[in-house]
Amino acid sequence: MDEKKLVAFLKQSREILGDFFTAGSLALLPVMFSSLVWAVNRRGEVKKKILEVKVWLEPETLKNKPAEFVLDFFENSPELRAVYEEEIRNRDFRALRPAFRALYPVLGLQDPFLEKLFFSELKNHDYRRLVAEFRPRLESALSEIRAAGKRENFWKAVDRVCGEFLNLGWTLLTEDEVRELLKKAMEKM
Amino acid sequence: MMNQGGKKRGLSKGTLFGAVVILALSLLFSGCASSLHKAKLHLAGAQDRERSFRTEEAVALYHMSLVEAEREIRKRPSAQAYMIKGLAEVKLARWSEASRSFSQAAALGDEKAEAWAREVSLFGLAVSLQEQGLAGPALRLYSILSERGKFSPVVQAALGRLVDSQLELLPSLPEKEREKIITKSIGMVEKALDSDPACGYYHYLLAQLLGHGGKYRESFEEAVMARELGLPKLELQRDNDNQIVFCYRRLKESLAGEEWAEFSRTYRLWISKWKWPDEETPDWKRR
Repeated sequence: MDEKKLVAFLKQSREILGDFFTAGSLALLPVMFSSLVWAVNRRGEVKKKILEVKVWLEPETLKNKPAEFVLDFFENSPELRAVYEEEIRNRDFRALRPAFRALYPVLGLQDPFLEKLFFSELKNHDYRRLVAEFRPRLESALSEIRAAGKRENFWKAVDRVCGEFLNLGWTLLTEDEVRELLKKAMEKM
Repeated sequence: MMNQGGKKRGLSKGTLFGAVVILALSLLFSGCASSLHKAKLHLAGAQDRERSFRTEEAVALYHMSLVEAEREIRKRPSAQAYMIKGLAEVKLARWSEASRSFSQAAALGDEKAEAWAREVSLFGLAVSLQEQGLAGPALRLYSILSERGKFSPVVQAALGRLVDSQLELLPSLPEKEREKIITKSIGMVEKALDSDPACGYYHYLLAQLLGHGGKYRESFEEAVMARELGLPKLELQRDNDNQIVFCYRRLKESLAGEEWAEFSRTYRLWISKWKWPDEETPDWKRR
């Protein structure tokens, strides 16, 4: 896939979907990114309907993970281990658990919407800032999507963008590869 | 010869006419296949994808089934259309809409719809009680539904909520009490598994609980079962894969000699079946 063609496609999609969001929207690019990743996941179907943005938050399940699992998550990521070195050493679960609730959906489950919403923090490895901003930024983004979703034709527009994206031909690429290509192309928009 | 030729021409006209009629009819039927028929096809397709563990595609098809069922209801409301709508809504976790659909199906004469509507509505009530901070009554409802419910999607969801609420108590409890709660929760899930051993979600819950109890080998085995049987959501599948990796790391630390060699062999067989690039990287994970 030609990167220039992809960037042009993304710009055009941003214009189409941008009509549904206010200027400087937090949610626009995460909606685009996650919808396109989902579209690739669902490419087995001829006619796909992407009727809602999924965000992988299961508050109860995350709250209830055993301490060993939480610790393992931090210890086995070299970047997190460096940032949370002191908390890991002191087994400080008062600090680790809230951080886990924000970081696990992004890094552990690799939710595409959250990955894009916290793109700059991930790029700069600024995990503490991601944790601090997680709840307020997510709430703002979700309320923007709720508002856009109430406008006529929003989901049809998302669906159209995804359909056109699939027509660009992604059949031989994995989700992982598409995700990386999209990230690079979105930086050049 | 002439006759023969004339007959031939006549036959070919007849054949042509027949072909045109068949073509017209097939076009008519394919173009006018009722929304109910499409809704049924999508629902069957979704269930088929679920059985093949293609959960994302299943969700997309449940959405399509719902859209077609709604279209059918606008044109020709029937018990069957409302039942299909309700089933799709249950699968998409739209509990209050599902309850209304089953009630409509019951009003239009479907016998089992009334009981389903009641269970779905009780579950929806429990969820809203819990969201409003009334945990006690919510838990009682989850417990009743998980033990006595007949509609399997509701039974599964209620059991999941019940287990979560039990686990929530763990951090504040002393070790002995923790063990009691874990054992009790394992008992609840095992009971559910007795009646539905092929439910991947129950194996997932059991893997999580056994992980809480530090039984990593058993947790690994249940997580493998969950993966093989399929889970209703992609995020659960990924969390389950993370549980498998977590168990692997814990066992790597605690097992030795022949025991570790045997486990390691089994582990490598599974991950090669799932096409994981290495022991600690599931196939979907960015490297």
